[in-house]
Amino acid sequence: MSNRKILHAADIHLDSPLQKLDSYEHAPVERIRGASRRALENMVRLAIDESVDLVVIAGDLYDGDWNDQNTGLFFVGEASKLVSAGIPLVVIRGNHDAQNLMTSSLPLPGNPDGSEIMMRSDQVDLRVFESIGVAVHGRSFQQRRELDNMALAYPKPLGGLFNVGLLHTSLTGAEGHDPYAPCTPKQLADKHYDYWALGHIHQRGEHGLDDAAPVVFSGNIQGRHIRESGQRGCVLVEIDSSGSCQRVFHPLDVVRWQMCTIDVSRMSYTDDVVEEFQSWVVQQAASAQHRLLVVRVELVGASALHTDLHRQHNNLQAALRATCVAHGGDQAWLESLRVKTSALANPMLDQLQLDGPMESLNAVIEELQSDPELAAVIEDELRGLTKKLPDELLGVDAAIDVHDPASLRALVESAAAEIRGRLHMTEAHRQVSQGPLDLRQLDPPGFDGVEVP
Amino acid sequence: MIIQRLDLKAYGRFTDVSLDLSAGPRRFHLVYGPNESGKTTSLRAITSLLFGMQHRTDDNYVHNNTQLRVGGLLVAADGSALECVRRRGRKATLRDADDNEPIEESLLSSMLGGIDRETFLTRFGLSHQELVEGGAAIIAGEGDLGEILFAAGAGVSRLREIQAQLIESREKLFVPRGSRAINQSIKELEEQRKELRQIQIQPSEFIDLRDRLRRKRAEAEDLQWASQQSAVQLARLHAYQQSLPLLPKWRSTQQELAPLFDAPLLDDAFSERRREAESQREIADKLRESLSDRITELTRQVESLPVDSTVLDHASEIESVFQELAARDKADRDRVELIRVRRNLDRKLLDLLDELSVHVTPEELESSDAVDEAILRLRVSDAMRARIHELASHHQRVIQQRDDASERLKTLQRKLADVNVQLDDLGTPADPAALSAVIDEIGSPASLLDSLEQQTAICKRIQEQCDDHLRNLEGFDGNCKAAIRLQIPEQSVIERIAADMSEADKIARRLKAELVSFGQQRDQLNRSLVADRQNEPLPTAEDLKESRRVRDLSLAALSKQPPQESSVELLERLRDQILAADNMVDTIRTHHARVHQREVDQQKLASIDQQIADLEKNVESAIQRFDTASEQWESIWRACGIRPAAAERMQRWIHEHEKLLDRFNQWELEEQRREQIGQRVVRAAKRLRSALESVAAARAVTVGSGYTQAGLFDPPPTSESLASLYDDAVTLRGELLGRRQEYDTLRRRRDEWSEELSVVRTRLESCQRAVDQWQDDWRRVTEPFAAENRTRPSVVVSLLSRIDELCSKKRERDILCSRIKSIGEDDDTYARRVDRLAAAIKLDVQQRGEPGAIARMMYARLQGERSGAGKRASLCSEIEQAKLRLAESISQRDQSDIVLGQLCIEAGAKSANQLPEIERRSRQRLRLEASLRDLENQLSLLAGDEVIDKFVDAARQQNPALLIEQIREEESQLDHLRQRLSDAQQEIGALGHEMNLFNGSGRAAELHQSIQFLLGKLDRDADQYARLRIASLIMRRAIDHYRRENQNPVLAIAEQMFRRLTCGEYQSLKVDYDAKGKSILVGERCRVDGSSVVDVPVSLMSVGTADALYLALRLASLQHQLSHGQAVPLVIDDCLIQLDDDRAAAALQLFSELSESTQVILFTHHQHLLDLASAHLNPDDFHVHRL
Repeated sequence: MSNRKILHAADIHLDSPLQKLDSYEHAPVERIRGASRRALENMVRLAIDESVDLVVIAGDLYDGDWNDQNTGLFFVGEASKLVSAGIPLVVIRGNHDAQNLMTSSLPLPGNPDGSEIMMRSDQVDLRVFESIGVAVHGRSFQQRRELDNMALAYPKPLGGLFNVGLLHTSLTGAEGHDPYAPCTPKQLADKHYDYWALGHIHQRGEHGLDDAAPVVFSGNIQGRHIRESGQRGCVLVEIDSSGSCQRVFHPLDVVRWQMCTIDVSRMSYTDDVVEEFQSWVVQQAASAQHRLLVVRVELVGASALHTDLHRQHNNLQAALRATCVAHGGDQAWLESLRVKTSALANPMLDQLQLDGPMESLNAVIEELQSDPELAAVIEDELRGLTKKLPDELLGVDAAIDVHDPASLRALVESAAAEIRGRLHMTEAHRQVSQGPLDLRQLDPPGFDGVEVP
Repeated sequence: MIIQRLDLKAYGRFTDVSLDLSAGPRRFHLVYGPNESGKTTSLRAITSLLFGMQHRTDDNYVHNNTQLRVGGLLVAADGSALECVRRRGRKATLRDADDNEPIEESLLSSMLGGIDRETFLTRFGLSHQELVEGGAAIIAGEGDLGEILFAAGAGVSRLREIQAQLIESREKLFVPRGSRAINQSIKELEEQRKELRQIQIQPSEFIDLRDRLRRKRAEAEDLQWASQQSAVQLARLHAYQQSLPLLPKWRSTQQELAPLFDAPLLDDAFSERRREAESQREIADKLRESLSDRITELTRQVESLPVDSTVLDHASEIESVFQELAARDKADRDRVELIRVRRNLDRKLLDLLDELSVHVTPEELESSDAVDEAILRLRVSDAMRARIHELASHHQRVIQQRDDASERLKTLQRKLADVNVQLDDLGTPADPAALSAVIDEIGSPASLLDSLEQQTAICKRIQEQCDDHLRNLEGFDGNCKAAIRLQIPEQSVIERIAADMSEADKIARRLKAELVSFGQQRDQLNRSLVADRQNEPLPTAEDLKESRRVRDLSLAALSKQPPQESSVELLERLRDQILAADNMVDTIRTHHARVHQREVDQQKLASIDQQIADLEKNVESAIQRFDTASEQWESIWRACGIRPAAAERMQRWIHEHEKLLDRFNQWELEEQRREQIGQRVVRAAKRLRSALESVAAARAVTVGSGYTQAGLFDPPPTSESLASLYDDAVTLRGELLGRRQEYDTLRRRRDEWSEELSVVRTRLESCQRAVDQWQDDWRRVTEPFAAENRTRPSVVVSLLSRIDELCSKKRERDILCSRIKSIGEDDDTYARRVDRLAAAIKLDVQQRGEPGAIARMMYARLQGERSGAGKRASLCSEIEQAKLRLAESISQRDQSDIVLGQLCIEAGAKSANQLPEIERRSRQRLRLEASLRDLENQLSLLAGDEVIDKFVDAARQQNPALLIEQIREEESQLDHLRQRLSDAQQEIGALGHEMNLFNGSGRAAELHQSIQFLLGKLDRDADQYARLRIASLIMRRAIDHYRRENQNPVLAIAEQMFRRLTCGEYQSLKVDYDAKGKSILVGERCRVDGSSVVDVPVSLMSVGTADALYLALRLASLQHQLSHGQAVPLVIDDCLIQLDDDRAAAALQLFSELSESTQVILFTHHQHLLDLASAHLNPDDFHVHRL
């Protein structure tokens, strides 16, 4: 048997939107729309261009709560392209599409050999592609919450063929993912298959034991929020005549989430942040190969600029957006600016033994930070707003998350910096902060300070 | 930490300016500088030194960014010192004192206790604006104690504004019931979600539609099949119907065909082939006959044609001669023309020779030797010709140069004569140098006179001031000088006596005040006693005593009497008296309090009376003491001749006298200065006059200049006429300078022209030589061909062109002659050739004429011979052709016979004659067979897949009448089926169209994405709102915290300061509570008469008082903080300009006192603050620096 290629993808989450992006002037909005569709098109184009022999998708074609038949029909269109090109496709349902009526109603085409694309959910299903010597064992989720170990029921491998196990599972569990179809890498290895193509965990990774079949999560094909940052795509499995395989990752994403962490501890001016971000954007845009980069800038480190950065948060964010527009072309989008800096510890201040209002302010902030009832205090203070806000904005990674102590402390720290900034604002500061943002002020030309060696 | 020294090395407008701020122990420094003096710059320099220069600076307008430096010497609380320099830049900006090496920033930072620029500016900086805003905030803040304390403590006058901004900013984002950014976003979100639900296509809809489409398609397929079956049946019935008329014809054809079974099946072209073969055989026969006749006729014609071979032998020569004929005719015409041209040339040659003075006759011309000779004589060589042209071109130049030189010489001679006349007229002018030196040395008298005038004015002003001061010396009637000479009593004596007077007066006043007070008390007690008496008379102790005494007397009287003598009357009286005494005791007991009070009052009254008496004595002694002191006062002043006034006024008098002394001294100094200037004026006038006189003397020597200035030196110069003298001197100097300049100019010109005159003379001579030389050369070169009277260059050049023309015409004529001669020779040659050729072809001699006619004749004969030969050849060729065609026609006939033979074999005929009959039978058989096939085809089409015989049998069994009825029924059924099918297909189309709408469009997904954009915006706004809201919370808590912790100590200090700053108008500060229980600050103000205090809420205080309150609280906060921490300099920027003088003085005192705890640097541009400080502070309590 000559060399064969299998494309392994998972977690397509078709038409799942890119979450909580705040649009702004000159932001490349159109490049955001339909990102998951473009990523799927990239996958199909890759399969055809690479002349793969088989495509397997390990679950979660769409979001579970998304009901628009057009989404399914778009998938049908892409599946038809594969079939027309003579490439068979095998898909299992994951937790998201288990009970989605859309999946069962899809007018999916048959594979070139006549077999069905979607695998059964009542038992472990089998597809044998004799021409390429590959057998695929797989089982779709019957219900959203499959809490049993599904891997145990997978049969023995078929002799003389390259056996692929297709499974939607959290393995032994992963942060941010529900523990569905739990199993261990050892249990998968014991099946003596040649390759386990897994889905569900969106982070790409290999979990196979030494001297056992590769156990691979290909990750999702398009990141949808900042927690899904970095390259997203599929794994191309190349099987040689002896049955051993090589895995090569291919990025498919059209919009790439990137975290830009800037350490401000060595910076003396807020302008330095913009300069560093500018060089970062230019470098990243060059390496992103025409993809749109959605960037979250996180400022960290202990710095004398701490108060200024919080105080000028909006101005700085606008400057970074302008940098995206000016230097990232239509290739960069600033998702948000998160200031997570801390104030510079100043032990010398104790010498002054100042007993003034700022010390009262510090005392109040410390008191609030260490208050065990902080959540209740803030919840009470913000009740008017939280009653009106939609649920999405009250949970994890949202503006207001009263259940996350770190988030609450950050909110207090940010508010404290706001006050400090306003109290410290001298006349010059006032003019800068009250006027419209002027990039020239943030990046003053002609500063000719001479460095002394 | 204190700033010992501030070095403005290169900063703003300053270069190497240093402020020494080291003085102590009170470290209160007043830095004075008028506007534009750099006060703000030096203020900024302090923050630049301590915290580095700002990124954007305006202080680089003198020194560029790299040169900016500010330095200083800083001393920490522990005595350690740091001398450093600050430069501009990003890194290593703090440098050692020599600006060589960078210093660790931490050294300075540690001295500053780690505070940053903002903390320093807010907490240790105080400006006028802050004071105004702080005061305004206090008034606007309704007295909220926490806010006031916090604002003053933090140095943030805009605290309320900041709180209001926080609320305003967050309310721009969200209010629970409003339409702000977040509210609108939420509303928009709901609308978009609703729209999304509407445009989403549910899978159930899709499944339902798909099932309906599937069912409809199945139905359509059934209908399609049924209608097809019906159509098939209908077609069969139609086929039976159509086949019925065909059947009889089919049978008759079969019968006709039977007898023709043996007829051969000839193809369609057989008859044609036969007829063609026969026709060709016939044609071949006819052709053979006609060709034989033709050959015979042609042979006869050939034989009849004649032959002339001689002509043909010389054909080429005859043609050549004939062709040349045209050339010969043309040559004849040319010769005539050439001869005419030659004659014209001859005439021109004669004319030219005549012009060149060579006379030749036409006959001589014909021989041409005479002409050649003449031409040879006239010819000019190329070298000569070039020389002539060269000389001709130089001619104009040499003549022109000579004429120019001559002209210039004349002009110069004329000018020199003129200038000599002018110089003689002008004579030698006087030298203005001496006068000019004096004028320059003295300079413009305006400044000298101005300063004299100014000095006089100053003297006058000071004198007036002295007079003013003198007038203010009340009680002294002398003049100024007498006042100066006055011996004023010693200060100690004055102060002692004044103190005595003052003390005596003070004691007297105090005693009088007490006297009045006691008087009031006595009046009050008297009034009280009178009232008591008026109310209800009460017995006094004396009354009781008296009553008891009367009773005791009666009792004693009764006891002395014998009992028998005791009368009832006496007993009754005694009883009454006892009763009265008892009643009195009872009354006293009952009204014990009143009685007691009355007694007390009476005792008080007695005591007051005693005190009044004592006081009156004391008052008297105090008045005496005052009078004694007054007398001493009067005497010491009278001794000086001064009528003294009260002590305070005399203090002012002394002060005024001191001022007078100062002013007088100053006046004397200024007078001296005025005197000096006056002397300078007189000296200058003298010098000018002598200079002018010496010029006049010099002018007197000049004879005949005709220049005088009447009256200029007539009067002797005085100091008053300095200005006019100066003006005259300047005028004269200008005039002298002008004349001198004119004289110099004329001299210079004369010299220049004299020099030029000799040069021009030399040049004229040289030009004349060049002209002579030219004329010699010219004569030499033109001599050979030009007469004496024709040697002008233009004439000679013209002659040269004539000679050229003559030569050219001569050459032309020679060529013409040669051509005419050549044509004649050619004619002769041609005639000889023609004759020779005519003889060769034996042309008849009698027929000969001129060569042209002979040539034409020979050519005609040649043409005739050629025509005959051609005709003969044509006929021979035609005979050959005819013979070939004859052979072909014989072969054609044989071929036709063979074809006919083959046709007979094909048709089975014995001879060609049988062939037509056989062809007829064959054609009939073929036609019938075709007809039969056609019928069978039709039947076969009708039968469809059925075998034709079976179909024919079935058709024969059909009844035509029933068949029509069956067809009608079947058609009706088919129409019905088709209608149903069409309906079903339309329905499928509609469902399909609906299905096509499920095209995988991303519209819903895009809306879903838009919702996420909205959520993103909402997320950001909510974050901002939460931040602002929590910021407000923290602010409230911090204000409260600070108030709790610092209220008492800060208020205690602030109260004292406030009292001083309001000059005692406000006594204290206290905390009160408003209706909501909130702590508010209240000031206690004394009434005007000082009798009591009233509470004034801070919001009702005047602007000035609120400013003072803010300042008091600010300084109190600072002092409170400094009481237990490290000191940092307090830098104040002109914050006292709102306060009146008394309050400002109080503030300066407070600053001075505060400067014992920390350095206080006050920048101001108000001189009166310095005056106030001088008036109200000890000299060591403050230090003035001027920028």
